[in-house]
Parts: sequence; structure tokens; C-alpha cells
Amino acid sequence: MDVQSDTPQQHSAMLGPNNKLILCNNSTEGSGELLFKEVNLRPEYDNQFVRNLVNEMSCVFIANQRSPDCPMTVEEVLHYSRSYRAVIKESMQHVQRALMTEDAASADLLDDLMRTLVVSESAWNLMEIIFFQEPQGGELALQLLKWLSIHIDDCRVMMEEVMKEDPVHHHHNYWPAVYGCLLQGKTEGVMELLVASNNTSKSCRVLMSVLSKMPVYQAAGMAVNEYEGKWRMWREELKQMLSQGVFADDDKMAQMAKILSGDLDSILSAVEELSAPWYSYLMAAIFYTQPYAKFHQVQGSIEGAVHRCGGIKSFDTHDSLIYHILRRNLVELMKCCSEEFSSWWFAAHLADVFHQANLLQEKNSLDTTMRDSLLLEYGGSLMQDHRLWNVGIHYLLQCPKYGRYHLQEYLARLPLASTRQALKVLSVCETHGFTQQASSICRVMARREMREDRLGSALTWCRHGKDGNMATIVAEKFLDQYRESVMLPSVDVLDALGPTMLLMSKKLLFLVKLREFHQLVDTGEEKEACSLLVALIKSRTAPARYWFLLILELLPMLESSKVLFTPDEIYDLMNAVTELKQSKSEEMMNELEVSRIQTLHLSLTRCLAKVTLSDSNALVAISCDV
Amino acid sequence: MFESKFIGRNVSKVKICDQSFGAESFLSGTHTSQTFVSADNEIILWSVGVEQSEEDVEEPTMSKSSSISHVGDVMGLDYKGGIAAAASSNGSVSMYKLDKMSSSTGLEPLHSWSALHSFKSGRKCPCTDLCIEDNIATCGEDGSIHILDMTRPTPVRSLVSCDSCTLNSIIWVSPQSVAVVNTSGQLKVFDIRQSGTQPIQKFILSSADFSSLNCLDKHPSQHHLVATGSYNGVLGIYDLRQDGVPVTILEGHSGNSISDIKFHCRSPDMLFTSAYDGTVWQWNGGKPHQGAGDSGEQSVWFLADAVKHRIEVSELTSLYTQAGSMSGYPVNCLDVCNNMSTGRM
Repeated sequence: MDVQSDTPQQHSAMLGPNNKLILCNNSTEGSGELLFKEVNLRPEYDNQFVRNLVNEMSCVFIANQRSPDCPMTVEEVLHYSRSYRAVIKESMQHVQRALMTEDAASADLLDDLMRTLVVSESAWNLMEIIFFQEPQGGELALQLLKWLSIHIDDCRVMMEEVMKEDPVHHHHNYWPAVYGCLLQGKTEGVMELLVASNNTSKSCRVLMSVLSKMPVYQAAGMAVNEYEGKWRMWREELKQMLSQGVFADDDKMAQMAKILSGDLDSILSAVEELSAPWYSYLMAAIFYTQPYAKFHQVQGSIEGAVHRCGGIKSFDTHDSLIYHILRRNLVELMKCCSEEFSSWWFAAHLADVFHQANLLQEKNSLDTTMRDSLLLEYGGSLMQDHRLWNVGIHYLLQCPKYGRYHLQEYLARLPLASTRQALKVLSVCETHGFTQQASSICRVMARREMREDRLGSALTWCRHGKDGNMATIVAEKFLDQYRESVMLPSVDVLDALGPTMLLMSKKLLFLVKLREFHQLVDTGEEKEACSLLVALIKSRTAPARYWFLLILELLPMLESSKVLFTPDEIYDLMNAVTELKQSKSEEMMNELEVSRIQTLHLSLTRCLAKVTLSDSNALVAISCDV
Repeated sequence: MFESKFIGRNVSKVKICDQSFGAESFLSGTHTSQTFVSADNEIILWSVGVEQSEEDVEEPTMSKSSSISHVGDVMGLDYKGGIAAAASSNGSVSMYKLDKMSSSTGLEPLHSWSALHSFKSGRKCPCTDLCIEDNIATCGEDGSIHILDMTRPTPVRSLVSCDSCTLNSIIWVSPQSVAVVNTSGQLKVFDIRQSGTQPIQKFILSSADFSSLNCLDKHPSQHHLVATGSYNGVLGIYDLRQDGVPVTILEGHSGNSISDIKFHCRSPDMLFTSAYDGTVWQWNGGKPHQGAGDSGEQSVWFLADAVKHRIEVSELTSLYTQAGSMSGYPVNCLDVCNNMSTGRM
């Protein structure tokens, strides 16, 4: 849509089904045509890989919900969190495979998705380390570097490339690969590259011996203090060498030695050369200055590292995400997650993991409503998708406070494309006890069927919803058709109608009795048929406006040679005719009606005479104003 | 042992192909449940294989052989002798040829009957189910039944508005008659040779306890024996030789809506039902009975009250849950052969 044009235009927008915003442009000039444009608010669910991810994650989610009384143990939380990561990783593999085959058009979309998945997986992994594994001093630095090398693996790639070249140090990526390995603490990789270069200089030999002597922390069999001592000794030796100018003949070796000795400026310049992210600097700095660091010591170095790397303002969302994880700042972290990803799936699932780990309550000022509100948002977005609403239900149900209310509202707005879909939504409503929504679905369906003139089906929906008022409306439609054609439609439904429905609507009761009358006439049980109809009129179950029609139906029986009425029944009918006549003034009736009423009277009188004669014991007084 | 797979779409129907095509194949259809007709659906042909796992155990695998896009939700899907047919929510029926040889497509569109089912106003309505024998029988929300000859462009017999309600499912019970179930809880049998639109037989599940009948299947060898599944989780067994009411009524799925029902084709004493509460039940009536032998040739399903004590019910979906797979999502359909497949959501 061209919103820049000079002509005055009116725009209006409305929310359509399936997360679509419909923009409408009623241009004042030209043909006056309406231009519609659909804007999909949740395009990510159109992607099959995203739908798969949503489905699989929901299974992990459902399987790991606990009641508040029995919180998860640390092992369970880790398992729960890893299950999510496994799903994300699997999804990454699927996308990767698709990327190899897809054409360029959808490749862009898949690229985007892949990026999202990579970022979320790496962030999730770091969170697991920081929040749940909580490694001790010595191990923490190693874990961080290990995480770094998994998620930024370009130095591994470069190394492989470089090693193919002969001689290796002529490859343009030789030094980046060496520094990359060094920054990630991969001393073996550095050694390998140095050995392969056949560098025979003295400083290189010394550096290799320094590298090989570097103490490595081993969780089993080494106390942190012991490690710290060894490491400090090693570093003192290195610093001494540096001050003696041992590496002076080779700049590169000198810089490497400086990095190894924990010189922050050298580390920073190496990071900048490789254009590695800020946390790469932080982790290298920790590893080479205090590899025995405990968590609080790491936190102490964060601000300094951020400052050296250009400040928090220069960070992109991924950088900030990592920053907040390392700071253990849950509020900012969640905020960042919500900003980073267009969909709520990441933040919602993460929040649930934290909730299950009891972290959202204890260590922060937040209460569980944060997890709930994220689940509500996520569940809500799923409920609005015509393919995923079933998944959304489970998320909404896990929000104790508002989940059920939200679910009710969403269910009431689900499109009912077919009877099958309607029955499905209805069964969800009934399972969760949403009686109001259930009856509204039945009512909507009944009205829809009525519009299509399918009264039997409409009545069946009334019966589903046990809706007496709606049944009355439908019954009236039935009777309208009866008045027009003296035939009842959809008799198969009327015949199968159970007794419970009849108590709810008087109209319906009349309708069913009328059908019963027709059936009795059809089967030749005329006497029973007549008494049924007279009873309907006498009890006024039949509304007065149908009396005329009903008595007309009786006409063949009145004229029959058989005695089918008792005198009392005929009096009742006469009363009814008189009442009908009185209800309308003479002028209001046309000639046809007047003559019909006269015919009826005549018939009734004749029948009465016949009945009286056949039953001579009866004492009858005839008073009739014919 | 089983294999499950997310396909990123809601599966509405599955149908296992018979021996003529190879028992290791099945078809699935998807639905999106949109109010407008969407072309975002497909019919997929799957092939099932066996793979040796690391522990040297045979693990079943399934892979997509081919797929074809389908306009509207796939409401019904059937297969017989190399021919597949799908019922669409836009009221049309399309027929496909399954060709094993042409590896490029596998599913080749043959013919389609468009706008078969519609209301009096002309608005199209879903064709809810179909069944292939010599001819294809279809039913729809308009309460009509159409009989399609696979070689002719128009229906050979149409029973227009023969039911006032939505017809949910249809099967052939003899070469001349079809049985249908509707939303008002009735099972009806129509003779397609007779003129008029009156059923030759009418059964009602229960007049007191009203519920929609969602699905039906016939006994593979005794065709007068029909089983239905209802919205309130009731399994009804009918003897088409006796009018009126079901012979046996069994309650299951904790009152949840039964979505599909199938007899086991080789062991007809076994019945399977799937439900919207996410469960699949196996009703085993063939359990050896102490001191049996009195039943004679009578099918186990007809032994009214006694049957309740002899039927062994087991829930199959516990398998799925153990594997950390989905639970609680509606099972939309199932099909039973020597192996079984289900489709969800």
C-alpha cells in the first residue's frame, strides 16, 4: 500500500482471524474500490519448522509440570532444561538439512530461523552453566571457555583450513587461528599450529615450553588452592621472562606471551583483531588472570570488561543477552529475551525452567506472575493460530490465576469451520467445565444451521447445548414451515428427540406431539390421534394461532363414518372455534375465513349428532349459534 | 516398538495401504480448520521401513515418499486397490492413483468431483467422509449421500438431504447398502438401489443419553456387525439384522469424544478406538474364557452383558507418554492393519 501518495486516503484496520491484521484503504478518488491488505502478525507460525519446534517443546513442557508442593531437584531442572536444548538442537539439524535443498526464496526465512535457533541455544546453554550447574572455582573458567568454543567455533574451522596448507604459516588465516585458539584457552591447538609452522626461533621454543608447563585444572584430584599456587608460580616465571626480554626477537611470540601472562591490553587487541564478541574478551581475561575464579569474582570482572569493549550501549541484543546471563539479572534477561525474539516461545519456556528451579521466587523480587504472564502471552499467540490452538491450551492451563479465563475467551473465538471442529472445541469446553462457552458454541452452530434451513440439525445442536430458549426459536421455525406446507420438516430428528429436551421448551413439546399425531394417523390409530390433538388444544399446549390449522387436520376424522370422538372432546373443539371467532372481529376476517369457520362449526355439529346417536345413554344439550 | 514423527501439520486422517500396494505404506491427510478454504493442506504417502539400531534391535522408521497438495481440509481418506480418494471440507472429492513405479510422484491425481456437497442456499459444505468399494460412497454436512462411479463425472446415485443432520461417517455394509452415522446419535442404513431417501434401517444409540455418533466401522468378516464411537465415549455394537438399538453398549475413554474406530482386519475380536483426550484404546474381546465354548459361532461382540466381563481393555497411548512424546493432544484418527498408525491434533 502506498501511504506516501499525495491524495487524501482513509485507512482503517481490523483484526482478522488467525493473527491477521486487515488493512483497508478506501481511496477517495478513482473507482472507489476497496483495497485490502492482510498483514500476518505471527508469520513465524507459518513456518513448518517453527510449528514442529512449538509442538516438540510443548511435549517437554507438559511432561515437566510439577505441583508447587514438590519442586524439582537440581538434577531434574538440568534434565528439563537440557530436554529443551535437545529439541532446539534437533530443530537446528532439520533447518540445516532443509537449507541445503531449499531454493533461494525460502532460504532467507530459514536463515533467519537458523540464526534465532543458534542464538537461543547458545544463550540457553550458558544459562544452564550459570544458573543451574554453578561450577566451582577452577572449573568455572574452563566451563565458560568450553561454552565459548562450542558456540564460536570459527577458530576450529580456520585451524582445519590452515592445516591443509603447506607451509601452514603462509595461510592468511594462520595467525587468526593461533590467536583464536589462544583466546579460547586451547593450548594444544596453539602448540599444534606452532609445531606445524617449523618455527625454529628461540622465542618460539621458549613459548612452547611455557605452554606445555601451563598448569591445567582437573576437577578430580586437585584442590583449587593447590591449582592456584601452581598457576601463580607458572605465571611469575613467565612474567620474569617477559621482563628479561626473552621474546623480544619475535613480536607475535611476545604478544602471545603477554596474553598468557594475563596482560589485558594484549588480550583486548587480539579480540579486536579477530572481531570477536565482548564475552570472548571477558572469558579469556578470566582464564589468563584468575583461572581459579569463583562466580562472584567473575561477576566482579564483568563491568570492567564491558567498559573496555565499548560499553553496554555498543552491544547488540545477543551481546546484552549474554551480559544479563552473566550478571544473573533475571528481570533484564527476560526483557532481553522478549525483545530478541519475535515469538514468545523462548522467554516463556525459559521462565518456566526458572520457575521450576524456584529461581523466580527466591533470588529476585519477582513473583511467579512473570512466568505466568509470559505463558499467557505465548499460549495466547498459539490459541490464535488455527493450527496450534490445541498446543496453547496446555500453556494457559498452567497459569493458575488467569489461565482459565484467557482460555475461555480464546476458545469462544475459535473459528468453527466444520461440524467436526465444532464438536472438538465443544469437547474441550466440556472437559474443562466451560459451560457458558459450550452452550455458546451450540447456539452459534444452531443459528448457522437455521440460516441454511437445516432445522433438524439446528435442533440437534440445541439438544447438545441443552438450550431450551434456542430450542423454542428453532421449534417456531419448524411450525412456520408447518403452517406453510402442513408438513413437518426433519421428522427423523423429531422422532429421535429424547424426553429431557421436551421439558425445556413448551413449543418443542407441542412440535413433538404434533409429530406424534401425524404418526398415529399414519399408523391408523385415529382415535388416539384425535384425543391427542384435542388434549393439545384444551391444555393450550398448542398456541391459539395453530388451532385453526389443527382442527382442519381433524376434519377428515370429524367427517369419518367411524366414531372417533367423545362428546366432551367435541365440546372442547367447539369452544376453541368460538374462542377463535371471538378473538377476531367480523370485519377483520375475510370471507374465506368466515366460511371456513362456518364449515368447521357445521362439521363439529354433525359429528356431535353422530356421536350422540351412537351413544344413546348420553344426555346432551346442544346449544349452538350456527 | 513404534516410531513417531512431528510433521508440523495437524493430521486429520490416516489410511494404511493394503497388500496390493505393499503393507509398508500409508497415507495421511492434514487439516487446518480455517473458516475459508485453504490450499495449505496435503496428502502424504509414507513408507514404513525397518532399521537396525545400535543395540541390534529392529526399529521401525517412516519416511515421506511423496505428497500432493489438497484444497480444503482432508476430512475423509480411503484407499483400495491402488486408488485413494480424499473428501474435502469444500465439499469436493478427489481421487488419486498410487503408483509405486513412478517414483517421482507416487500420488497421481485422477479425477475430482467438485462441489458435491452443498446446502440449499448453494453454500458449499464439507464432505465429511467417504468409503471405497466398487464405487465411492460419500457423505456430507448437508445430510446427503452420493455414490460415485470412478469412471463417471457425475454421481450415479444421490440421496439428497436423506438426513436432517450432519452425517459424520459412512461405510459400505453390502454391495448395495451403505451405513451412516449422524450428529443426532443415529445409525442408518440406506439401500442405494431403492428410490426415495428413506433409510431401510434406523438405529438409535440411546434416546435418554443423547450424543453424536462420530465414527463407525464394520466387522471385517461379519458385515452385519457394525461398531460406532460416540461423542460421549460410548462404543456401540449393532447387529444390522435386528432393528432399533445396539446389541452392546460399552463405555470408554472416560466419557471423552471418540474420534475413530477400527476393527483389526486379521483378528476381528480386537477393536481399537481413539479419542480427543489423547488416548487410544484396544478392546480385546478374544480373551480366552474359562469354560468357554458355549458361545458357538456367535461373535464375541454380540454377547450383550456377558461381553463386559470378557473384554480386556488396554490403553495404548501410555507407550507414547513413556517415550516423552506427546500426551493430552487429541488423537484425530487411527487405522489398524498388522501395524497401527494414528494421527494427532
